[in-house]
Amino acid sequence: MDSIKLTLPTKPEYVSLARLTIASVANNMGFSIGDVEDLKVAVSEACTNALNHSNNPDPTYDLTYLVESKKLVFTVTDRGVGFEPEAVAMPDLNGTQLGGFGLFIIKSLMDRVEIISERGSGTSITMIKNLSTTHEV
Amino acid sequence: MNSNNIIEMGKTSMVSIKGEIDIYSIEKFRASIEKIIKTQATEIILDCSELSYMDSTGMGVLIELRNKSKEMGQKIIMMNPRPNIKKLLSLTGVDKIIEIVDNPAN
Repeated sequence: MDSIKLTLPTKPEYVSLARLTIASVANNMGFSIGDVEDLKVAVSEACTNALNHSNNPDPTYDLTYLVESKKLVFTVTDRGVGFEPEAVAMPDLNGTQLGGFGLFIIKSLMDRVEIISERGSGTSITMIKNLSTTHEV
Repeated sequence: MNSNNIIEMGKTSMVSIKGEIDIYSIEKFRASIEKIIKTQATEIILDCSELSYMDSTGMGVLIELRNKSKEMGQKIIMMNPRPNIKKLLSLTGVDKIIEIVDNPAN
């Protein structure tokens, strides 16, 4: 099992680096084009979450990719203020409440999502995508 | 994200959105569309043929812009979004409030 670790500055311009690395890892593993796109969105949403909602006093946050034989397990960890995942409301398309899309999208696109968040010590979002045995053409 | 290519055709403005829309490029995207909302255009077409990536940050701003343009009596249309972006528009329900068209010429 290979492990890749990346520490990114808490700056928006580096989120694309998280997408580039996951796309490269997922391509090597044999994920379909559609799944690679889903993985790019999921990691990007988790990074955006770490930048927008964590009030992270730390200048960096961490990404870990674990390459397993039939799945990719990846985690985005920040050292921000933390939040209560259950309290995140779904966005209202006609109103002003536009947050909450990120977690909803992650949960929709990934096979398994685990969020560990503690007030004052940060948030860790672990996402798992299984390598599909049927290949897209 | 690059959106300098704005074509005005009567009451329709067409803007070509290129590259990636994420947390880094979002303000540039918002500003370029807000500029068109301030004009007399009744229809704003976002040509997404060369838009390779968009996530929830873009979806949120799209909804904001759609609500703003609606107040001004304008309509925002997305043209030719790629399958990965179409999937997110459908997942979030944004495709129910913003018209999406596929131009067969592309």
